[in-house]
Amino acid sequence: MNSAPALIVTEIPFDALVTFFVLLIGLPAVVLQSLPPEIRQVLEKRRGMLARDLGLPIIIAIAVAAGTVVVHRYSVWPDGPVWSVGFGLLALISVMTAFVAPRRYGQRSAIIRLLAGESSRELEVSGRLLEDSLHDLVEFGRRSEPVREKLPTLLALRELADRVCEHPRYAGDALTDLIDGVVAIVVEARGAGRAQLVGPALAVLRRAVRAFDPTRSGHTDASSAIHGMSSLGIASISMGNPAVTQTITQSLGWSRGKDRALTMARSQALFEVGMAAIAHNEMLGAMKVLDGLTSLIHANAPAEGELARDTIGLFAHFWTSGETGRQFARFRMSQLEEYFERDIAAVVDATIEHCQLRALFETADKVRAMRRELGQRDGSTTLGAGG
Amino acid sequence: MPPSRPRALWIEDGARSELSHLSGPVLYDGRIELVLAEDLTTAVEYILEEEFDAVVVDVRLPPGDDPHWKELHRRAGRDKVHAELGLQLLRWLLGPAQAPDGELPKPPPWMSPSRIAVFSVDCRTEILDLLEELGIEVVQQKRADLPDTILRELIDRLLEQRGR
Repeated sequence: MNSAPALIVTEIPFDALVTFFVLLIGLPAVVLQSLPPEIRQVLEKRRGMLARDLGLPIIIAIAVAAGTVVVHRYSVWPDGPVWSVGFGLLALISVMTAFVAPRRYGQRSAIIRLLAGESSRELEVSGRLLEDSLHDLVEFGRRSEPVREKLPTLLALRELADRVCEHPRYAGDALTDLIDGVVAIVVEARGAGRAQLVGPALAVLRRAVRAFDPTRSGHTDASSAIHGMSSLGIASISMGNPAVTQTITQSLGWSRGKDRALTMARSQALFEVGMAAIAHNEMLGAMKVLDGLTSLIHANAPAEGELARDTIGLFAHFWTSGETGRQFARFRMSQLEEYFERDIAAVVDATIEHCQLRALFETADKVRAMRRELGQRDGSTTLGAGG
Repeated sequence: MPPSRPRALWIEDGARSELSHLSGPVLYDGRIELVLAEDLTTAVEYILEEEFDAVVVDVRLPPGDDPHWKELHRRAGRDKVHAELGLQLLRWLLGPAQAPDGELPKPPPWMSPSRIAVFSVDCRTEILDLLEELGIEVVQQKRADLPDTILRELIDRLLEQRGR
């Protein structure tokens, strides 16, 4: 004897129900097609995993349907319970597939977790990230739109950077791709809210610089991070957010170590940001840059080489920005004169030569103009207390 | 060797935005190295990393990422006005308990009340009493009629107090 629900089930045409369940199982494929392109790109590279997660339920569903038909035809069991169990299993498989697959692959957070997990698969053993997966994670962040959707990727990259830096085998050269990726995500972002990306990106770069330990690691990551700060700093000027520029500049000037290579990298980065700030008339940002260079000079006195030349180069940009800039440059140069290894005239000449060789013709011309005016006023290239 | 510059830390969440004009005079004359921290987490990081000759603190500050400060902020209803995290910072730096809840490291040995100024819109009597208890003498209320040079003046007062 059949119960009432079983009777209802047996009265529904089996092929119609199978079609319905197969449609449910196929729903994830429809969902996947409607996903944003950056998610589809990640999933297309992982077809094997998709085939496993979506193909397996289809195979099981076919087996269950076939099994139900066979049992119905050849067994002595009553029809009602056989159909009920068969339909129940099909329904369970279909619903699970229809809901689980889109959740697993259809959300950005899930994709980021997937890629971050892949990237760090061998981290515990090797102390390094898997390049392919890291590249996919960075690409995912670069292509995510709108801007706020990039933030979770940056936070995931920040966490990965922390884990790499804390690894006992970290030797200062495992983060270059990650650093370049973080910078690219922020610099290439367009639209409102870009400034919100700078904080997490800067945290990654600062982490890489802090992890530098001359006794056990090379300069590679720290230098990349400083170069990245320069790119962020220049980009922040076009964002029209002086607060962000100042934050980056402070990070660049925040150096107490006397490592020559890193000091040079910081000095060059500050010069580049300062030059861009003056070009955009962001004078407070430019003053902050000069303050960063001043801190480096104090920490590395007597200043010579790149640091001295970058500082003079930046002074020249102030000098040629107008009368107030000229007074400011004269005043601050007079303060710093005693911190240079050579006299100002020699540093100015060295800066001109250096800028020519580095194809920084505009800066070279500005330094020449400054030298000319300094000479005209004082009879020689010396400074009085101006300002 | 030429003398090094005094170093000042300004802990103020509007330091780079609505109050950025106050840093201009300090940056212009270049006598003082000015470091800005816009939240408690960053401020503590800097304080533990470097010695400062002057520290100017606001009372109403955001917590930053550190779980300790975030928890205090959450307990105050996620409102920086009620949380008064600047005062919590001062208690950590100068108070008898030194490290509340044992969650923070010990404050650096160079820290003293003579290096600290409070620059805040909120100068109620309870706050002033607490600052007196902690030994902080330089307190300035934020008002619209203050000169642009006020930050530099506060730092100068602290430096004078310490004979620098």
